[in-house]
Amino acid sequence: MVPTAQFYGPVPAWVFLWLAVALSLGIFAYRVRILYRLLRLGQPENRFDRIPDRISSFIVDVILQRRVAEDRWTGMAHVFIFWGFLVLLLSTANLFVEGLTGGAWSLPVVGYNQYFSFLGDIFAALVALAIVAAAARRYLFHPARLQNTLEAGLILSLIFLLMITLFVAEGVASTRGQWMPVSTSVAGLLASLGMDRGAELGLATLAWWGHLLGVLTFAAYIPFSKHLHLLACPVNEAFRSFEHRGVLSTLDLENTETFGVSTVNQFTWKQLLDTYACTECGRCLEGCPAHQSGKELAPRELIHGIKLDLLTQGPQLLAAKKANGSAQAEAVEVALKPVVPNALSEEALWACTTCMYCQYHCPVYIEHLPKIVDLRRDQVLMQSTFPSELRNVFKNLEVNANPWEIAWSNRAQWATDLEVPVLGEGGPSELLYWVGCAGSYDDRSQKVSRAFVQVLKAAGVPFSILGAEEKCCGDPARRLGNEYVFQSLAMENIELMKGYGVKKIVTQCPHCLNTLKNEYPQFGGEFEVVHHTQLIADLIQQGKLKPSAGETRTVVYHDSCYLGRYNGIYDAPREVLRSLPSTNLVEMEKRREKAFCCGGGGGRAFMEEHSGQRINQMRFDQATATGAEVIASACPFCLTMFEDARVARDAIETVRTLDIAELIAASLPRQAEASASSRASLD
Amino acid sequence: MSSNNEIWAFAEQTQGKPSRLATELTTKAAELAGAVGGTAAAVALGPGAGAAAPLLAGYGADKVYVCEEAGLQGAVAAQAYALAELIGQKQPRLVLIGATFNGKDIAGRVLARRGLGLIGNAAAVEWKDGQWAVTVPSFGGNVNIVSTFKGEGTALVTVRPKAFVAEERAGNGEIEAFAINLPADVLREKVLESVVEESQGPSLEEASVIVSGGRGLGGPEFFATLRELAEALDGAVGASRAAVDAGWIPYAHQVGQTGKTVKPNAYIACGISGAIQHKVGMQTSGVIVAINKNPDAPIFQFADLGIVGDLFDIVPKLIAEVKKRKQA
Amino acid sequence: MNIVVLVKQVPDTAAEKKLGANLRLDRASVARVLNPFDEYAVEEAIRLKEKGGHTITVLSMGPDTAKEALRTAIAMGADKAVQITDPALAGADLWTTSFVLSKALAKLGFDLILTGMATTDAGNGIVPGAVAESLGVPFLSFAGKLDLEGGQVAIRRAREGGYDVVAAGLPALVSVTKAINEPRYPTMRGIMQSKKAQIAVWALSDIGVDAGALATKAPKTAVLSFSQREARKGGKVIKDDGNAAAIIADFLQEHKII
Repeated sequence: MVPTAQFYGPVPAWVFLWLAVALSLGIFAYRVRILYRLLRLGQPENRFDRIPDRISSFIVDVILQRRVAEDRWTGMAHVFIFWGFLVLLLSTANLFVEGLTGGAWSLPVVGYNQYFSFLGDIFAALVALAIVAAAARRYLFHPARLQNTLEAGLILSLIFLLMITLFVAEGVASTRGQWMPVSTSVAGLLASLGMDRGAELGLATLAWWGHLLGVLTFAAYIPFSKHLHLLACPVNEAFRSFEHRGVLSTLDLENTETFGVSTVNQFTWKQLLDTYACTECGRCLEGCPAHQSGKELAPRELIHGIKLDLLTQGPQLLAAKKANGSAQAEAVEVALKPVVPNALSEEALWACTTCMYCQYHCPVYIEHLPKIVDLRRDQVLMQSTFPSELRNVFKNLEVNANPWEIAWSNRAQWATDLEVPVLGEGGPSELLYWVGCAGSYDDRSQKVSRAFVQVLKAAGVPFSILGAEEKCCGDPARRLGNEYVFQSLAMENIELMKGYGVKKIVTQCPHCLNTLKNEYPQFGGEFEVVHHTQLIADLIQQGKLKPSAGETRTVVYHDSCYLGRYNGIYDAPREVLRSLPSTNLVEMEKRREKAFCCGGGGGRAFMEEHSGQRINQMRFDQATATGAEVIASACPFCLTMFEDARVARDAIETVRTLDIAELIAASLPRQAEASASSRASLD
Repeated sequence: MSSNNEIWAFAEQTQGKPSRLATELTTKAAELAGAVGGTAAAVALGPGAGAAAPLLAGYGADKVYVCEEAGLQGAVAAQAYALAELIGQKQPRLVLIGATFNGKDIAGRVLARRGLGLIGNAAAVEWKDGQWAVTVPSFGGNVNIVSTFKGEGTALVTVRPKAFVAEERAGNGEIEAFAINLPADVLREKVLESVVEESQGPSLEEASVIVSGGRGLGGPEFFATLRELAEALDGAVGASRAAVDAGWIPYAHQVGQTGKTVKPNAYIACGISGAIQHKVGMQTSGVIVAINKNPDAPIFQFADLGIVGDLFDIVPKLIAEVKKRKQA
Repeated sequence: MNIVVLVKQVPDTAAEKKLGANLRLDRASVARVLNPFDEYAVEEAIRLKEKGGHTITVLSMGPDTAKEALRTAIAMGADKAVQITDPALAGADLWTTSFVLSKALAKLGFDLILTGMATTDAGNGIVPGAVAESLGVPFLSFAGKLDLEGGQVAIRRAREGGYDVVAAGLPALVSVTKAINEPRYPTMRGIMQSKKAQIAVWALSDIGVDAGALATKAPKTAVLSFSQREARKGGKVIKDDGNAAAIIADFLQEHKII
C-alpha cells in the first residue's frame, strides 16, 4: 500500500503530501521567477537564431554531455549522475503520482514497467556510486580546483540519501522491487539485520516519505544553490554562442552613448544567464595563467562575483522599476555600485591574458572573455581608468600605429637589405606578408621576419609587404578594451588592403591572424588569412621546401593560445617541426587545447605583473622540464616571453628559444653555410 | 640706436660666487668680443654681486656691470627688469643667458620688454660673414639648424650648461655699477618660502646622466658601485626590468616600456642587453654607452659607444677616470 | 573663472624629422601631436575646473593642422578652442609668436593662463615669459605644483637643493613642468565631443595686428642652413683590452658630459 493511503485521524496522508508539494513548488516558483526577472534586467542579445544548430547542440552537449565528458573520470561520473537524474526523474514523478492519489493512479509506461524499473534501479546505483566517488575525491584527495563549501557537502549528502531511501522504499515495500536487483539486495541487507516485517515496513514507509520529502526539499533548494545549474545549464547551452570564439563583439562608436559594462545590469541577459549555469566545477582554474600564478583573477570567481552582484543589487533595481516606473528606476541604476571594483578587483580585471582556457574548457559554455573585455571597455572608454603603462601604448598606437614609441615611417627598416617587394611600390599582390608590429620593430622578432623572407624566397613564393603603410592590426587595443583605437586601425588597414586588392595574407603572428581573419569581416574586410606555419607546412608537402640541415637536438613545441585554442591550429606547426632532420620533437603535458599561456596576450605584454609568480617563467619551466634544449614557438609574444624567461632563469647558455620560421630557415640546403654562422647569433 | 659693440654674459651668481655656467658664458663672451672687435662684459645682479667681478675677470670679462639692489635677491622679475633696462641703456650687440629655469624666465621677459630676437639652446655661436651664426641641435638632435639675427636690436642667445667650455683668460674686470629703481608693479611675484630638501640626487626624469644596470650585474651588490659612478657624474641610477624583477633594485628605477622613459644627455648601460622593452625607454638619450660581455647583445646595434668587456672590471676604473678628469 | 591654456602642435618625438628645401620642417612624413608639456597644462586646468567649475579655453597659434591638437585638448575636457592662423605667420620667430599670442589673449580675456614650460620641438621655454611680460601679468614659471585660492595662485618651483614657493595675484600666467600631474587619457565621450566641437579661427586682422606692420618688425631671427644628423645607428664597438675606462671617459668628455 502506498503510505499516503494511510489515514491520520480523519485526514488521509496524501493531504500532507499535497501541502508539501505546494510548499516546495511555491518556493521553487517564487525563486525561479525572481531569477528570471533578474535576467530580464540585462540588455538584449539575439540568441534566437540558428534554431537547427541550437537543437543539435542541445542534443550533443546536454543529452550526450560532450564537453562534460572531456574530463574523463569526473566526466563519466557526471554522465551517470545526469542520465540517472533523467531516468529517476520519471520514476520519481511516478512515485509522486502514486503518492498524491493515495495509490489510485500510476504513470503509464513508467509505473509498473519491468524494464524501466530495472533501468531506474541500475541508474540509482550508478548515481550512488558516482556520489561516493565524488565525495571521496572531494574530501580525501582535495583537488585544487574544488572548494569544499557547505553547499557542496549538502548536495552530495542529499543526493546520496535520496538514492538510499529509494532503494529501501522500493526494495522492501514495493512490488516493483522484484525487478530491481540493487533495491532487492539493499532490502536483503536490511532483512539480515534481523528486523521483523513490521519494523521493515515502518522503515520502508519512512524511506518513502524521506525520499519524496527529500526530493521536494531538493527542488526548493535548487534555485538557491549552485544546483541551479540543473535548470540553467540546458538553457544556457541551448543559447550558446555560435560565433567564432576569437571574435569579440563590435561597438557602434558613433551612435551609442555607453560603451562596455559598468553596472551588472549592463551585461546582456545571456551573459547573466552564464552566471546561473556555473556549477563551480573549477575546470577553468586549472589552466588559467592568472590564477595559477597567484593573481587575483580566477574565472570561477569572476562568474560567481557577477552572479552575487546580480542577486544582491538586482532586487533593488527590480523594486524601483516596479514601484515608480522608469523615472526612479534610472535613479536606482545610477546608484548601483559598479562591477569593478565591487564584484571584481581592478587587479583581477587587468590580469587576464585572454588565453581562452576557461571559456574553451567550460562544460556549460560560459563565455568568460566577453565579460572581461566589456568591463575593460567601460574602464577605458567611459572612465579612462586603466593601468598607467597602457596610456603610452594607446597613444603610440594612435600616433605611430605601433605600441612602442617608434616612428611609423620606420616600419619597414628591418627589410632594408633584403630586397623585399613592397605592395605600394608595385610588388606582387598574390600574397601579402603581414609582418606585424613585433616583426617590424622588435629586434628579436625582426630576426624571425628575416628568416621567413628567406624561407619564402627559397620556396619561390611571390609576395609583398605593406611596408610603412602597415598599421598595427589592433588586437592589443581591442583586448584591452580600447575599441576606439582598434576600429580606427582596423578600418584604415582594411581600406588600404582593399585598395590594393589584397586577397591572401600570411602572417607570423597568431594575434594578427585571429584579428585579420576573424574580426576584420566585422568591418567589411574579407581576406584569406593563413599562419606562417601553415604555409610552410604546405610548402614542405609540395616539395618546395626541403629542410635538410640540422643538428641533433630535442625541441619542445609550445602551442600559442591564439594559434591553438583560438584557431584550432595544432598540427601544422608540428608537421613542420617533424620535417626537420635530426630533431627530436617532445611535448609538454599541458599542450594543444590544454596549453598553458605564455602570459603575453590580452595586452599583458605591455603591463607589469605586480604579484605572484611570473607567468612566462612558469611556462618556461614547464618547457624545460621536458629536457628540451630548444623551445619552438610560432608567435612573437610567446617568443618575447620566453626570451625574458630565459634570461631570468639564467638559461642563456643552455636553452634556445626559436620561432619555427627560424628553425626552417636554418635548415634549408642552400642556406646551410650562411646559417651556420648566423646560428650563433640566433641567441 | 647703434650697438655699443659689447658682448654680454648674464652671470648668475650667489653672493659673489658665479655659477659654473656663468664662467662658461663669460669665456664665450670674451671669445666673441675678440671676433667682432668689441668688449666682453658680464652682468651680475643682487647683493654681494660686486665680489663676482674679479672672478669673472679671470674668465675674460673686461667689464662687469653690477647692481647690488636688495630687491634683486632671488626675484626673477626684478632681475629681468634690471637686465632689460641695462640693455636699453647700453645696447649691447649680443647677450648670452644660461638656459636654466631662472635664465629662461628672465630671457622671455627681456625679449618682450625690449622687443628683441632670441635664439635658444645654442651649441655654437660664431660671427661669420658679418652676421651671427648660431647652431642649435633640433628635433631631438636629428638636425642641426643654423640661424642668424635680423635687424639692429640686441641679440639674445640662451645657452645650455656645458655647451661651452670655461677657460681662464685675463680680463680687466672693470666694474660699472648701475642703479635701478624697481617700480612696484614689476615685483608681481612673491617668493613665499624657500625650502631646502635633502638632495637624493636628480630624479631619473631630470638627470642629465643615467647609469643603468641590468641582468649582467648578477646581483644587487654592484648597484652600489653604479651609484658611485652616477654620483661622480651628477647623475641618477636606472635599471632594466631584469634587475628589478630579480629584486636587486626597486621598481622606481626601472627604465623601459613598463617603467620610465628617460632622455638624459648620457645613458651608460651596464650589463643590459637592450631588448626593445628597454630600448624604447632610453633610445632618445643624447649619447648611449654600453658595457656588456655579450658581443651579440642588441644594445650594440644602437649604442654610440659599445664596450665588449667585463663591467665589474671597467666600472671601478671608469669612476677613477671620471674623478681624475673632473679635478683637472 | 576663465582659464586659457596656450598649446602648440609639435612633431611627434619619435618621428624622423627632415627640413625641406624651404628650410622648414617637412611635415609629410611626421606625425603631429599636442605638445606633451601642454598636455600637463591642459590636465591641470581640467583639475582646477573639476574643483571650481571654471571655463577652459585652449588657444594655439599654428597652421591648419593645429586644429588636431586643439581637439585633443577638448577631448581631455577643455570647453572652447581658438586657433590663430594667418599666412603672414609662417616661420614666425619667438618675438612674433609671443606678441601675437598676447594680442589674442587680450582679446579673449582671462583670469589664469596655463601653458607647458617648453615645446618639444624647439624647447626654448621663452614664449611663456614673453607673453606674460607683454600682458603685464605675473609669470610663475616651471611650476611642479599649483594651488589656487581666493584670487591668488601659488606654485612650487624646483631648484637646486630644494624648491621655492612663489605666489601672485590673478590674473597671472603659469608654466608647468611634468612633475605637476599625470594627464588623463580622453574618454569616448570626450573624443566624440572633440569631433563635433567648433573651433574659432582668428586671423591677424581679428586680433588687431597689421600684417604689414608686423613684417617690418619681424622676424628678428632667420634660419641660414641646416644639416641632417644621421639617425641613431650603432657606433663603435670596442673589445676591452684594459683601457676601456679611459676610452669611455674620453668619449664622455668629448660629448661634454664631464
